Amino acid sequence: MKLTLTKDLTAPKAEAVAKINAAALRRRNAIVPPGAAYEQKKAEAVAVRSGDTAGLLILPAESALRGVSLADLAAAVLDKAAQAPVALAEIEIERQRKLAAIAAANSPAEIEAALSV
Amino acid sequence: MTTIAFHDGNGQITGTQSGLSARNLDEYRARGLVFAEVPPGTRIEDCAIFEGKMISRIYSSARLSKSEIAADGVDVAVIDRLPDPCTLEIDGVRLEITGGRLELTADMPATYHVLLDQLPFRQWRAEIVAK
Repeated sequence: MKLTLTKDLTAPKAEAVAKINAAALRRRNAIVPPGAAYEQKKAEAVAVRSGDTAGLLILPAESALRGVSLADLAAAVLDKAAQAPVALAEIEIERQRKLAAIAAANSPAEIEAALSV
Repeated sequence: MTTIAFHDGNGQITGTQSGLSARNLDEYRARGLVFAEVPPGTRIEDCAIFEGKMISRIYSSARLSKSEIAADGVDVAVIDRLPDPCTLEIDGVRLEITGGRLELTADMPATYHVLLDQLPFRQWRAEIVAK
């Protein structure tokens, strides 16, 4: 009897895609935490910068807890928010590059290699 | 405490259970469960059950001509001296093999795992790396 060995790459590819997506999500969440707090803090930081400190819910408490001034905390929040799009873009580009490599992979070794691209 | 092995109709061991007392065994027998007691130090994968007793499986004479081949669809590894017929598992996929011989080529670089697990033979495993 003769047999040509091959591998069904469907499952390994799906597993690799899941790993890539999970890693990208973890990195995104580190930059832009999920939930409303991030947007709320950004809005409050904008208000602080424009001199409107009425109705703040998070930043005054956080500045007291961390021992930093409200202005410095607002500046830090805005600085981080300004950097976020670039960092998020880098993460997404890397995710897309890896997904493309997975789609093109023709062997288990190529899938492994694609994960470390 | 005793370890017991359950088996299918061919004597192939399908599962084990450890830490059983004599009372447990009596209860199992009363419930009609069919099993064999496993002597201490027994390698389960080298055994089968015949007439309620653990017996040693014999060595297969299967052999692999080479464990590394080119993934070019041409280079051949041969497994021969297989029981005829037999069932081989290649990466978990069962294949019925007749003629006692299997010629393998590969068109995808990968490591392929072959398992012969057929009574009365001991398990025989091989690994073929296609590069």
